[in-house]
Amino acid sequence: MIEADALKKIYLLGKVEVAALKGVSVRIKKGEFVGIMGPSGSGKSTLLHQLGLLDTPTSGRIVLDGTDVSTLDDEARTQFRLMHLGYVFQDYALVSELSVLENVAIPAIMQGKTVVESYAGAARMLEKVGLERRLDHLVYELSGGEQQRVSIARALVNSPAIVFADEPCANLDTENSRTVLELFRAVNRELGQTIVMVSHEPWHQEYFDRIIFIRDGLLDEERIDQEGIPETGRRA
Amino acid sequence: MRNTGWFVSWYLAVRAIRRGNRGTLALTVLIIALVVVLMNFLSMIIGGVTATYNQQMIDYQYGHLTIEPRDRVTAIDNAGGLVDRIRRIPGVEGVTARYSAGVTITNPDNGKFLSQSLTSFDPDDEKTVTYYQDRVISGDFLSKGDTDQILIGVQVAGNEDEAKDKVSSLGGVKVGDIVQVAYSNGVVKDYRVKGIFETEGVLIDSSAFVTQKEMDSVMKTSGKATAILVRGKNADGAEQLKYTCMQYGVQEPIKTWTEKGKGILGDAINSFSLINNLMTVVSLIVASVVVFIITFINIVNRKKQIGILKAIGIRPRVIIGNYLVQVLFLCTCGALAGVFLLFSIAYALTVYKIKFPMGYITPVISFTGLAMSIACLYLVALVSGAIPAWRVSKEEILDAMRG
Repeated sequence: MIEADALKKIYLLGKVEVAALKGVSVRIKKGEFVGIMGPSGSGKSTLLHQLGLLDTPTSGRIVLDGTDVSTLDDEARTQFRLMHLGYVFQDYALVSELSVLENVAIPAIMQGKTVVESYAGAARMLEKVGLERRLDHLVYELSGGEQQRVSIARALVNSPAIVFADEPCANLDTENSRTVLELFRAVNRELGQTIVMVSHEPWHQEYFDRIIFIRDGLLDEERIDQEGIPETGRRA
Repeated sequence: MRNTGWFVSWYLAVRAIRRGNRGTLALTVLIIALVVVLMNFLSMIIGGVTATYNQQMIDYQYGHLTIEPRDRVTAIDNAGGLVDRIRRIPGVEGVTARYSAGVTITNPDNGKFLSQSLTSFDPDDEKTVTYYQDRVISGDFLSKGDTDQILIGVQVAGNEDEAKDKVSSLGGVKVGDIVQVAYSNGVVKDYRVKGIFETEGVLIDSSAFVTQKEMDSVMKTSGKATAILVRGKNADGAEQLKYTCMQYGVQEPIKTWTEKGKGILGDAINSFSLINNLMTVVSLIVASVVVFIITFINIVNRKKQIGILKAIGIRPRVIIGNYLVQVLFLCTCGALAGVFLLFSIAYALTVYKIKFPMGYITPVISFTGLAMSIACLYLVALVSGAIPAWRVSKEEILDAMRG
């Protein structure tokens, strides 16, 4: 369960304050596959970064899986990210000096698992994303689609409660995008993980359980239901 | 066994080193190696100078102990009795009594003269303490009964071509030549040069010797000595031997070779040490700047990766640890390469010796100094590596991920 109340994020560009989020409240249920959509510069990535503890909101409150993460210090936030969250980034964000297997295993190693256990878990996850023959390759030896699949495997290796994906298909062609989205949907269905994905591609909507629309740093008011839950775009 | 943060640091560092740029790695190791050499080179030479000087002091000038006349007395009376007594002290390997007098030595062939001290000894006793007899390059060493004969150093003999002389000389005296010695009591006497010695030490090779018998006959110094030299088993035991001699009732002032040597080369050694310390500090600054720049560039290039690692839950101290492990690796490789380079240079300088006023120098590496310089290198490198790593690891995740 993700609960965010009155999230504001103000950036300082020189002396000018830019409000990227102007008081956003969202609730995402456990096991949902939610898309955050909106025009470019609407604040969708900013919202994802706040929810995913990659950035600190200027004000507001976030509760993830029952923990009020707004009160956590930096160390605790790092630990929370490691134990409960997974990330997939637009540019894959893989460590170039690590092999495919090592990239996927590193969160598990950091979590305290032995290298053998971590490698075994990483190999299983890579098999799930269809890269079982690429374990020892370095990331630059892979195509963009393959790199993104490695990134997904890394995000899932610790079986996190929530996976955040920031435009994971932005650098991929349609075929690879579809593969990635289907992978997300399969993971969501099979493992029951909550997935929050930012996207600007209209055709991605068909994969989401529900969509949160953002415009100018606010939820699109026309699409909020009476309970204050963003509803428009909810799929049957 | 569960992993600790340090294990993850090590895990990441090993892979960064293994898959990083080999050329940069080699260059960094080379720079650190050169810093190690720089920090130790001068002290190695100073060590060689000191060791050579100390050995020469012991072997030719002072023995392990020098017994001197008491205050306000110019000579030790009953020196023969004292020599016999000292000879029986456990640990004493040799004793020789010397008497030095101020003289003027003249080469009658060219009129050149030198005002200096002339020292007498019993050649048999002298052989038990010093090594002049092994350093005679022309003619022979003195014999106990020799009179009218003189042993001179190669610097006293000199060269006919004055330009070849390092100090004032008699201008090319050879074995068999006659030199004239004018004593302070007015006696002027001709001596045949019996031998010429060369120790490679300019000061030592500027001395001249006659037998005790000869000095006694001219200066009436029978039973007197201006110094008694004692050789023990080894140089390190000099202090102990000094106390043993005192326990056996030697009441004259006793100085060890280190006490005697302090005044002469001490200032020079101190100056060298000061220069060496300055060089060490400069080298350490160079090392710290190099490590800082390398780590900084390394970190700036990997800023994005640091952001990624932080995003996926790697703690900042693990990231700092990763860079510290890399710095430790660089330092270890650099230190090993530096030690190898230093010993190679030392070996080369042992084969192709460099000459100082006290003779040819064999470099001496101080293991304590080497260990300390490497320890300092590690310290500055760790600090220099930690600062940029700490700064970047404290950056906001998204800022770091933007690179």
